[in-house]
Amino acid sequence: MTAATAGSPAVELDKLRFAYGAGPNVLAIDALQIARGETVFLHGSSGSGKTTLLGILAGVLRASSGSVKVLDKDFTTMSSGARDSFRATHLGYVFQMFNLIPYLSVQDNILLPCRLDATRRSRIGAKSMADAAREMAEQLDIAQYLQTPVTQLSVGQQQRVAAARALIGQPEVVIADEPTSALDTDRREQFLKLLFASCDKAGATLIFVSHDLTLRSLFKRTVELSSINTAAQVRSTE
Amino acid sequence: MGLILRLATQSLKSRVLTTWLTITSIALSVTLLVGIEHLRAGVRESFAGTISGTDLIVGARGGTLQVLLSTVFGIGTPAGSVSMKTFERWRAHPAVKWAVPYTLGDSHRGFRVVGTTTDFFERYRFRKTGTVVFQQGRAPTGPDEVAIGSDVAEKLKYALNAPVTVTHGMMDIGTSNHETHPFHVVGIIARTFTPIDRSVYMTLDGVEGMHEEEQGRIARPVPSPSAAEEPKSRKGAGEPKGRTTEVQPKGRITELQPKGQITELQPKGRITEVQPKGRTRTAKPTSPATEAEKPLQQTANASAPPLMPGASPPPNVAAIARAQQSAANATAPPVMPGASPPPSIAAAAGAQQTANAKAPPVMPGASPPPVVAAAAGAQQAANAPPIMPGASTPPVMPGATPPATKVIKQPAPIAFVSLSAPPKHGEAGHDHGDDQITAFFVGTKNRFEALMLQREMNTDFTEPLTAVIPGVALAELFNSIGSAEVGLRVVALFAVAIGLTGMLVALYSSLDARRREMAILRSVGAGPGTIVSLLVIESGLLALLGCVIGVGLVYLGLVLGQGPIEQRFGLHLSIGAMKSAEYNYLALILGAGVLVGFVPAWKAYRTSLADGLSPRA
Repeated sequence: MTAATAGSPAVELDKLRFAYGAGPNVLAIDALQIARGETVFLHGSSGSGKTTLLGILAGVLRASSGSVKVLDKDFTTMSSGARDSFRATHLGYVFQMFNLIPYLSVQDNILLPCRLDATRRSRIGAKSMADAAREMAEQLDIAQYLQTPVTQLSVGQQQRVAAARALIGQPEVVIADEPTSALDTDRREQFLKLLFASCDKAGATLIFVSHDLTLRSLFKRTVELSSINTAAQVRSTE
Repeated sequence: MGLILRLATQSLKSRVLTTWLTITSIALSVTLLVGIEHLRAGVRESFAGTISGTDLIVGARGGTLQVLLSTVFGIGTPAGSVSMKTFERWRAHPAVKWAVPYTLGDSHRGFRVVGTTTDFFERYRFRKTGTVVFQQGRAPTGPDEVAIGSDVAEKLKYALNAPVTVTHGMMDIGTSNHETHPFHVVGIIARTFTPIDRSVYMTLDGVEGMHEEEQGRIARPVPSPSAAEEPKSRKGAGEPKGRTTEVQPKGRITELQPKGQITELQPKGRITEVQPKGRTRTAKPTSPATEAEKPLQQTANASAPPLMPGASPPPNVAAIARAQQSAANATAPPVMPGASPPPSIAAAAGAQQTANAKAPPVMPGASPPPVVAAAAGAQQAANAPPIMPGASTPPVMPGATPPATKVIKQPAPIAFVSLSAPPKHGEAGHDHGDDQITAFFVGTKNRFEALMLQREMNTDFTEPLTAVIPGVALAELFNSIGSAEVGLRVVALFAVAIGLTGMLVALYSSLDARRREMAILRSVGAGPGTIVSLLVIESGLLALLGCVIGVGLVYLGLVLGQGPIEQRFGLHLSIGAMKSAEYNYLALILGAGVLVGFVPAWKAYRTSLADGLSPRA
């Protein structure tokens, strides 16, 4: 990574407004910056527009107005196809649950981004895809399940597989949407440690969304969504 | 693309049961469609390939299909016969390269017997280049020799030298075997997959000899076969015609009237056969009118108005009306073929087959001129409303009329009185007269001459003939059954539509369960286009597998069914490559399968756009 890019923020929102169709604004964020390599805890209660914000950051939803820059790319000027391929190359995403495609093996689930995007594949270097998947699985302590049908994995194991998939091929940004909400407390911390270690190793920026404030202490920075989303404030004051 | 294909196959594999059920329903519909197409083409090919190399088939005046079907395929009965003289005359025609006589009318245990010459075996071609090959033995040359088709040999377990007795008509029951003239097998023809396999071939001499002998046995002189004897032999033959049992005794002989004027009389409807079958010598000179009268009355029930047995002076009148079965019906008045004065009238029984019940009374009025032309028109006449051939004078006959009317109601075979026909084999289709053949096959020197020759034959007046170009007649036949083919195809296409609809339902109903899957794919960077192609590829794969399996089933069916179908129906289905029509159907089904995939794909596209990364369950 060049010095210039290292200095620019991973995510930069400016006067973002978003509404579904002709409805009222769901999001109104005047400014938000997340630096590269940062691990950010984005806190928001349900209804605060978390999921919508993540959709915008992933490039699936298009802002109604304002600008959304991820790694210096302005999503608002990109076509949806360009955003799709940008996402494939530069983002990793972990869902709250049901992260895996049931008819693919663990290994194939992990390798999905590499199969879909040439850049992600090229970043694994000279290693074979299977080796890269194994390496990533070892990091997340799921190497023994590579050939196990995903339906036989526990929820915790499934989330680790999802993390491995989000991290393989070194994406610059990893977005995790309440990935620990289905885990019990012990597993939660264990999962987060593995996630942090892997993001650190990959140099990825982690945007972790949760309504569970007990986790905030583990992050360098916490962003309170309700405090920056003026649309939510307006609505809540009414 | 590689990923999508992999996802599609994995996804289909994960839903094994639904996938296979869908594929099966498509496969079965493909089997139906392609199978029908194959069968249809096979039937056409088999039919069309039954005869080739023959430019014209010539028979007595009749429908072209009748000529073709009765000679080549052994279906139905020929319209009549052709005299050997006519045959020889045409054979000498400059455009004719070869001509082979062909005589039908007898059978051996249900297989038809064909009288022909050795030329037949050399000239006949089927499926373009197939020639008649003797698997054992040789072509019959002597009057007591026959060659048999492979089916005949197989079914009857005949080997060379097996004795063969021939029966009149096509039924193998009955007592009319020409027992006195036993034949033996000298040749067995290799399988041709044509009606040849189900035929027995003998020489023209053989046919003639057989009948001559029989005639001799019965009563040689043409004039009067003993009534008693003949019936016996004929009877039972099952054929309506021929075997008329009654021939004369029944009496109805009506007679004739010299009355003055009207010679004729009347015909009542059914004039039946007057002379029954050909070989009966009908006219019996002997029968005095009186004799005739009695029986008449009895048979004719009360209702029947008096025939007019006006016994005419000439003893030979003979129109024998014989209502065969009809005699039984009260209503049916006996016919009164009016015999005209000329003693020689032989009422020829006309085309039996032709005589449809419905035919209104014909009035073959025997006019004084001995040569009533009526015979000629016989066949057509049958369908035609009352014809009055030759009635020189208006049929006045007061007495006669009443019966006529009645008759009309009753359907009955009509007979024509034909003066010209020789008393011998008047029966259509069974003319083994000394010099009568059923038809002949012609090869022209130059195929372009076939058309001209056909016209020449069809318009020649010396003997009414129908010359048929086999290919043209076959095309006509296919046209007439074409609508049935279309119907079959429509049904098969509906089956395909049902199969595809099943696929649509299966894919569509799985979509809801797959929203999460779509969201995951979106999260790793798949665009909506990828989602669409995933579903379209899935439906395309289902359709492709359905087609492959369906075609496989067709071929499997052909391999397993070829033998039985051949044996059972004599239909040879070739297991060849598929025809372009079949490829077109497959392409159509594949295309439709892909199109059907767009329906769920469109919905998935809309859903995944709306859902983004968070499917609302």
